[in-house]
Amino acid sequence: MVQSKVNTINDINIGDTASYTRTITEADVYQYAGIIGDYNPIRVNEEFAKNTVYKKRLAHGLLYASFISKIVGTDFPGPGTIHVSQEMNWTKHAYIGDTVTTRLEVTKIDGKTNKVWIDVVCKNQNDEIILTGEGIIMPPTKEMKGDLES
Amino acid sequence: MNIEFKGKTIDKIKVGDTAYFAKTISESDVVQYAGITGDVNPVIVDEEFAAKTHFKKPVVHGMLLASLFSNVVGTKLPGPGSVHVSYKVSFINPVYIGDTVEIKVEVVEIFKETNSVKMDVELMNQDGVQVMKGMGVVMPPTADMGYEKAKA
Amino acid sequence: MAFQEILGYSIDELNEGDKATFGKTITETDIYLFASTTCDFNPAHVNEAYAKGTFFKKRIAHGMLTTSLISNILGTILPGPGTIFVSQNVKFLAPVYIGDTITAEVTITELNREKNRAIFAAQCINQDDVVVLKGEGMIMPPKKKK
Repeated sequence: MVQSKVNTINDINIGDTASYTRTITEADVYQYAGIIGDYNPIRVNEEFAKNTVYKKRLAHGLLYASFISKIVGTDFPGPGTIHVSQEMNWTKHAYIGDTVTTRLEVTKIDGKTNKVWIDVVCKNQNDEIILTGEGIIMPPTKEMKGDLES
Repeated sequence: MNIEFKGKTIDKIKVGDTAYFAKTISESDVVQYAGITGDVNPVIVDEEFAAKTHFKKPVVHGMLLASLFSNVVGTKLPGPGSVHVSYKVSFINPVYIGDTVEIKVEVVEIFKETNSVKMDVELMNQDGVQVMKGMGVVMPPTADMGYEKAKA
Repeated sequence: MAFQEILGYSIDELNEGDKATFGKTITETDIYLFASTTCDFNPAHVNEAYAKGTFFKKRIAHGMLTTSLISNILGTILPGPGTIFVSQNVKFLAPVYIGDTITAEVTITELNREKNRAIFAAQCINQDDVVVLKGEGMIMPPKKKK
């Protein structure tokens, strides 16, 4: 039984937005480091971090960039969506304990190729922009919607 | 030799420098990653749902695979102390749980004035199929960065 | 597909005195995951109320967790992938608490090139320069294909 709503390209309009907020915990950063094997001391060594311009341990940039995928694949357009490509520009860093809000907005729709362009912004709890980027996604097709909701 | 867990500063990096990381993607990787990011996309965590898509079975999060770039950057090239500036990825083919993937990262351009390097990224599976490609810009560690207590 | 050959230093590439370090801040998550992996739920590691009444006053990390940082160096840095761990002994000299930053250090002290065996000395130091663990052991470095 599929709970999530499946949006096809016809359900999507330019200007549509979706967002997701999450506090990045120490446990998140350590488990993420474990999965990808990135033990950069800037993420897992407080003493090392103290001796850098950052002063404290940073969360992995790709950890919160992953929230884009989370929105696209579970919320909007939702299940069945394919992430084709994603661009990420880190403008600031996120520290362990920061609360990151990821917001995407639809900027372009191409019905012929079933592609949707999204603008992405991540902000921290102080409303500072920490990441921007553009992505291309393919929402589920009408045929898929029928299958997926059956 | 004295191997300190330190990254390469920009003057030690050359165009053409290459580093790799390979891993068999386990179910636990995918489940834990879903928990950390909140990405419980049914095409990844719901076998019944995935069976109805053209993937036929659950796939691995694309961004998990993209994250392997962070492994190479953070531990090998440039290594400890590096941070990301930008990254662009294209997902080409699906990866399934149990697949072994290898990421290749190669330095293609060096910008001394901004202390950053541009890197070409490619991810292949065990059958030699390209599953992802990308381009990233990272800042190597500066010489003054470090674990000052690195014991004698 | 042929993956990149991943091999560490062979015995011919090693010298007595070679050294490598790796440091990490030990978190509550590390201790809890280690407890669940090994099923070692000793209250000294996972019960703060109990720990208050012990000599250490707070929850401490498993000694083997700290020891594992040495295994990390041997298997990934010096000598690196392909290394076979033969034996190790350790002495735990001071407790490791949640939030401590531990730097492990491995030094190659003796090489037997004929038998492909290396003896190493290891120690772990916290952020206050206190040696929390000392030990030594034997490994077989990876063999390079001829």
